[in-house]
Order: sequence, then C-alpha cells, then structure tokens
Amino acid sequence: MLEIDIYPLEMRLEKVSRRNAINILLGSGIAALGAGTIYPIIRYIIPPAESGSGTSSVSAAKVGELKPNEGKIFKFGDKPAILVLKAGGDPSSAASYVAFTAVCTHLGCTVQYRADIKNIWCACHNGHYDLNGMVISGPPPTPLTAYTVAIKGEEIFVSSAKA
Amino acid sequence: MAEHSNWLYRWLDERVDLQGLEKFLRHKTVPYHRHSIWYYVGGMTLYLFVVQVITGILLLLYYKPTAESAYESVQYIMTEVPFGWLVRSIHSYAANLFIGCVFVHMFSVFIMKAYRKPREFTWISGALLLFLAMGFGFSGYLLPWNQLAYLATNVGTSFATMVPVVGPWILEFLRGGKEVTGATLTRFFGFHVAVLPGLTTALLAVHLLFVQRQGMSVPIVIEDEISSKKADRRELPFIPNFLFRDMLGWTLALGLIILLATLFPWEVGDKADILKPAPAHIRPEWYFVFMYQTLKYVPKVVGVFGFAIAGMVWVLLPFFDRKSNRGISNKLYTAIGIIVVAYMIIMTAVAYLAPGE
Amino acid sequence: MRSISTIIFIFLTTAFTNAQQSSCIKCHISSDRVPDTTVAAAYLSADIHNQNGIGCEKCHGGDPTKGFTENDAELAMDPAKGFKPPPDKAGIPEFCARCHSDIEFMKQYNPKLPADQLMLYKTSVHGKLLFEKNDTKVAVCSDCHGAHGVLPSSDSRSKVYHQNAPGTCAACHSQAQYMAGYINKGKPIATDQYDKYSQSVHGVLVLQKGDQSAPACNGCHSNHGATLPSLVSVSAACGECHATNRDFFKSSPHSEPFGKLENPDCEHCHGYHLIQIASDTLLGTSSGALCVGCHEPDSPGYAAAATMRMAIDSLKDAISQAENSTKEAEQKGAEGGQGRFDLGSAKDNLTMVRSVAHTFDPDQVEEITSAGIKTANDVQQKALAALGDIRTRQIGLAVSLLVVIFLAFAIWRKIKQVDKDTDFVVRN
Repeated sequence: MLEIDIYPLEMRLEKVSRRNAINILLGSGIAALGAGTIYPIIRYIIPPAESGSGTSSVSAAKVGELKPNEGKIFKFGDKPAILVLKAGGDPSSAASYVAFTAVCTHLGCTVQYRADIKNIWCACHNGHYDLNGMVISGPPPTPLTAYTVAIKGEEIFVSSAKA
Repeated sequence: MAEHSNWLYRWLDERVDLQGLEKFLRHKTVPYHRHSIWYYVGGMTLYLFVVQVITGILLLLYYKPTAESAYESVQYIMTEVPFGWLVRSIHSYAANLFIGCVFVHMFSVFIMKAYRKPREFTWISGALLLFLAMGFGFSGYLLPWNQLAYLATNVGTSFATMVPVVGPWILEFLRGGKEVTGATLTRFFGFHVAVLPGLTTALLAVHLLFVQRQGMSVPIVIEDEISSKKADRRELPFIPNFLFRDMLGWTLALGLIILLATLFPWEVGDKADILKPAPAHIRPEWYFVFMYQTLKYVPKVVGVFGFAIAGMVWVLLPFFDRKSNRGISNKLYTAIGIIVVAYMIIMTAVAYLAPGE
Repeated sequence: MRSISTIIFIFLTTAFTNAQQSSCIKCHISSDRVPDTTVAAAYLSADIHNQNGIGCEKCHGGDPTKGFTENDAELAMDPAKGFKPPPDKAGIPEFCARCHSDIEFMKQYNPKLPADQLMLYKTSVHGKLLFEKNDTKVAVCSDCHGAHGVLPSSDSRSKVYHQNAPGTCAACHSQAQYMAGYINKGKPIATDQYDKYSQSVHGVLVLQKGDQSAPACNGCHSNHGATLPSLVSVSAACGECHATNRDFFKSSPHSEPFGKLENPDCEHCHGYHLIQIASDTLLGTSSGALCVGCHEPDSPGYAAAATMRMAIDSLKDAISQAENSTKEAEQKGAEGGQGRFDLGSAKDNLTMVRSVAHTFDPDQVEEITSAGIKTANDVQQKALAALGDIRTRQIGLAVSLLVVIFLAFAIWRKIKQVDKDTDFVVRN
C-alpha cells in the first residue's frame, strides 16, 4: 500500500484534507455513539433512590420523625404498613416502636393510629387493634401481621423477617 | 511502523508481540465476491453476543433469581432504574436478533457449503453454538417469571420425559423438582449466567480460532469461476475495509435495536401464578415454534426423536456431504437446505397464522 | 389412628376409674344385667360430667358403692339413699338447674360458665310454652345438649357446636308436621328457616366454612333465651356485628319509620334467614333497587337514591379505569406498583361508602365518593402519564438514531475512501 506520488501537489493536498474531514466525521461519530452508550450505562449502574425490588425490609422513618404516641403509614413492597412509636417510648430505641401491615384483616382498608385511644383503628368498620396487632373489637377476624423494627444509625428499618 | 514508536506500544510489544499480531491483522484478508455479504452475518452474531454479555451483566446488578422477587426485580429494572427499560429491552431484542443471525449464518454457510473440508470443525462448533444459543433463549425466557414464561417452560421441559430411561431424571434435573417452581427459576438462572456463557465462550473461541486459521471459505461456484479464469480472485483487507463494513452493520443493528426497545419496550407481563389455568394457544419463543408445531401433527415420540436425530445429523453434516468435500457443487444438499428452511418457515407461519389449531 | 384412639380410650378409662368402679356403670355397661347399655356407654365415651368426676349418683342419687357385687340393683338404686327415677321431659330444665343454676357449685368446675340458663330459658319461647302451656314438644336442655354424653359447646362433636347448632335447631324447626299448630305473627310458623339460612351469606360461612364469627341461629335468636329478635330489636341483633351500619342507620331518617314496619329495620331491605351479600344494586332507582318500593319518581327520596347510587357507581368506574390503566402501565413496564398502592385509599373509600350509604344522606355519601374518585383519577392520570413517558422516550430515540445515522454515514464514507485505496485483485 505504498502511496505512489503521481498526483500534483494541490490534488494531494485536497485528498489529504478530504481524508481528514472523513476521519473527523468518523471520530466524532464514534465519540458521540460512545458517549450515548456510556451515559445510560453510568446512569443505570448508580442505584436509584427508591430501595430495591421485592423488599423484605425498608427504611420506614428517621429517628425523631415520630413523636411518642404517633403513627406513620409507609409503603412496604406494594402494600401499606404502619409504624407506631408507643406513648412514652424512647424515639431512639427500637423497642419503643411496633410495625404491622396496615391492611385491615376485615375488608382490606388501610388502618391508622389513633393517639386518643392508643389503638390501631380501621375507619371503614370501626375495627380496633392493640399495639400487639391483636383485635380488640370490631369485625376484623384475625390480628395484623407484625413486622420487626430495627434502628441503624438515623434510620428506622422495618423488616418482614421474623425476629 | 514509525508512528508506533510510543512507549506503550514498545512496552506491550516486548511482552505480547504486538508486531506479530499487527502483521497478522494487516495481512488478514476476506474473499471478495458476489456472495461476500454472508460473511458479515457471523460478525453480526458475534457483535450481538457481546451486546448480550454487556446488557446481561448490567441486568445482573438488579435481577433477583427467586420466585418471590424475580418478577418484581424485573419490574423494578423497567420502572425505577434509570434506563433500566432500555437495558432490558435491548437484552430481549438483541437476544432474538442474535438467534435470528445464528440461523441466517448457519443456513448461509450451509447453502455455500462452507462446512466442506477442511472446515468440518468450524461447522460442528458452530452447530453446537446454535444449540447453546437456543439454550440461552429457553433459560432466559423464564427469568422474568411471568405467566407466559412459566407456562412455556412447563411445556418445554415436559418434552424431556420423551427420552427413554433417563427422561424423568432429565426432567427433574431441568426443573429442580417434579414441577416448574422457584427451584426451576434459580436453576435456569444458573444455566443462563454461568453454565451456558462458560460453554459458549469456550466453543466460540474454538470457532473463531478455526476461522482465523483457515480464513473464510469461498463458495464452490466462485472457486470454479476463478480456476476457469472467468474471474479474478479478489480479496478485501480485513483491516480496514472489512472491519469498517462490519462496523457499519453493527451501527445499523444498534439503531434498529434502540428503535425497537424504545417504541415497543419488552413487556413485563403478569406475574407467574402456578394456580392459574393455562390459556389456550400457548406458544414457545418463535425459534422453537417450528418444532412445537410439528409435534401437533406427528406423535410426540416420533417428533422428539425425529428432531433429536435431525439435530445430530445436522451437526455431523460435513461428513455426509462427500461431494462438496471434493469441491464439486452438490445440488442435492442445496435442495435439502432450502427444503429445511422452507419447512421451518412454513411451520412457523402456520403456527402464527392459524392459532386456532 | 386406631392405636391413637385406643390410647385415648385407655387414658380416659383409667383416668376416670371412679366411674369404672361405680356399680351403676358396672351393671349398666353389661348387657347381661340391663337391656340398654347405650346410656352408660355414652356417658363413658365422652361426657363433660364424667371428665369432671361427676358420677351418676350426683344427678340420679342412690349408692354407687353397692349393688354390683351383691347382684342386687335395689341396693344401688335405693330411694333411701336419694335415688329418684329420671324426670319426665317437663322436669328436665329444673333437674339440670339444680347444679347449673348454683353459682358456687359451678365455679368449682368452670368459673367462666354462666349460671343463668334456666332464668333465660324461662324467658324463651320454649320455656314459656313449657312452663305456661305445659307443652312438652318444645326443646328442653337434653334436646340440644344430650342427656348422657353431654359435651361442651366448644367441642366440635357437640350438637350445640357453632357449626352444628343450625342443624340441631332444624331437627324440630324444619319439620312441618312437628311444627304444625304453632303460630308466629298470626300465621302458621314457617319451617323453611334452615333451607333459607343455609343459602344465606351467614349460613354458607357457618355451615360450609366453619366461620366462628358468623352467626348461627343463636347469634340472632339467643340460645337459652331463644326468641324472635323482632320482639326486641332487629337492628340490635344485626348491629352486634354490623356496628357501623347500625350506627349510620340509627342516625338516618329511615330509622324511625322502619322500626314500625312488619319486617323492621335491617330486615326491611336485607330480609332475614335468606340474607344475601348486599350489593350496590339494592340502592338507587334501577331494577333490583329497593328504594323505588316506597319513593315515587320525582320525589326527593327518589332523587337521593339515584344520586347515591350514581356516586358509588362513579367511584367504582373510576377505580376500575384506574386499575386498568395501572395494570397496562405495569405490564408495559412503565409503572412499578405505586399506582396500585395509591389506589388502595380509593378502595378504602368504596368500602367505607357502602357503610355510610346507611345514613341515606347523599351529601355524606358524595363526600366520600368524591374523595375516592379524586384519588382514582389521580392514579389514572399518573398511569397514563407513565404510559406517555414511554412516548417521551422517543425524543431520546430520535437523538440516538441521528447519532447512529451520522456514524453510519461516516463509516460509509470511510469505506468508500479505503476501498479507493485498495486493489482487490489478488495477483499471484
């Protein structure tokens, strides 16, 4: 592939500049495609804020977010769950918290914490559960499923794993 | 080469003989004639395989291979992970294109009799790679753990029982139990990301090594034309001429995959429910359909054994086609190849066009 | 299984050797001595009295230490030792009550067991007929509980076990011949209660699913004080379980007039015995709706019924639309369950409004339905937006394709260029 110098100088120069133009075209095309490939991959690799799928534990709240005698509904997998800081409980101790599925065992409404009676209460048909998840009164046939609460740093984690 | 006087080149050259490699690549050529287009299909297949490896590794970052969370993790990839929908859809579309390219590559090699002496091993390794590719497809299809995949796997694995004596054992080996369950999923995951990639990489290395050692086969017709001086022997330097052509194909393929992945993101479907009854007209992935459809017309045992024997004959084909091995064009085998392709296309078409059967 | 039952049998028989050694049992279990051994056998096999060591003599009197070895029944069944022949049917309630109404006595065995059965029985239709009209066709203690082989109601073999109770009542109440002559509300008493009940929502739960919380006959009629709930208050009986519905109903304008109807309160719409799962079709003005029975078209009540039904239907439609869109978005991989989660509160509203509908107040109904509809519409919008997001990806696609085409063009130009510099023909 020896270049044989048979063209006049101008033609050679023109040829060289066209070659350069094509190379620049090619180089920028490859660079653009490379960037277009790398960018989604980097975005993909950085884990999203929303915790992973098929969760068996989620961060339900921050320490201090709940005051004693207060409850919070949070998303656990695709069902609601409820975290309650017991009245008079120490907000920084996991033992002061209880967590349950927030799905009423009667007709599946979302339950809530009633600070006035210190019960978990379902508004739909006036079902009451105590802070062990047991049915106190009303139509719910079975207790609420309890979750485990643990504190790691500033986060309160709720897990469906058995304690 | 003078411009290679930089230190990195020298450093590497002293250790891995870069000059030797360069020399090989510079002298590597590809036959250039009117059937040359088929040479690109192999490179395309290889490219798609690389795409599969990269997107597959990316999917592994978030995928969870259990019955409880597989479906949810795929849904998570599709919805929560940035560009997750793109990565997964590319993996799904490229998988299908990959299988398609494998078929095209194989039949083009068949029709051009490129398997003939001395390239028998290239053919055999290629044919085995086809089976591995189908294994990839079959095992990967189950991984999202959706209803269709579950049912297809149920039907697909059940054919193992046709094998005499060890059939039930194979069935249990494939399913990780008597039924398709979460155990099957975990097992298929293992096949899909460890066993098959390992085997494929090894076999692919063999396949490519033979291609490099022996170069591309020139069809008998072209050889005849050259030897009878009707045409010149023409060759294309692999670098850069052939490689740029390859790159053009890859770029366009990438465009096509992105187009499909964006306009029609691969669906997640409904989560597999073992208790739900199977819907009518359940069908496997398209590349299995011709076999599946055949089994509707012939007794299952006959069909399964027929395909098993046909598969084996197909692998050992170069040893049967003596005429081609002597460099004489074999019209009979060309006809067989066309009939096989036609059969597969017709059977597939029948299955898709007449789902009522 | 056989061996287990043998072990249990041995356990029972050895544990209660008292009974074994009683001469009453020794004779009454031996077919050589008495013609009928079933009474003793029932007592021995399973009887709460036997389990508590209460021997025959505690009810029947006499001396269980004598008579067997002497081969003289008179020694055991000695009137001087308090033996009395078994009471006739009319005497049974008081016969049992000798112990069962004795609070101090009963406490020894079961501190929780009430001791008011006889008192309640006297208020029941059965008790009144027995004591006031001397009607011995009515049920007495032994008809439901058995006489020998009495089991606690918690024992699933007992005739008064929750699931078995309806059948026990039906033994008399479903027999037209037996019940002939009894009058209820001026008409011969019906005998189809069991048939109706067994098809009702409650009957299916109790009889087929063994649900302990659904009412058997005694759930509404009481057991020992068995009576017609209408005599007291239907809504009180239903309201035991359906508390919110009762409260809403009691606050409603229907409460007073419905109380005066022949089938009062809840019964008027939901019926009795053959109570079906209430559906939304009961409400409104369309076919199957009950409101139109009283409310004439163009009346305010008619309009209110239509409004409430419309509100509930709109909520249902909104939920099902949102569900469909969400499902489509999920299947397409555009949405990951958040919509389904958010839709939960709209479904809560639907559950709640079906209860609140008993206020028969369109404003209260619409307040809840509109909240639910708003939630459902939001979810629907989000699902559609998520599906739409797939479309906005097309901008990214367009850019990528431009890059691809640009690069392809560059490569193509490059190929042209390198080919120009290449001599393809191989010259040997």
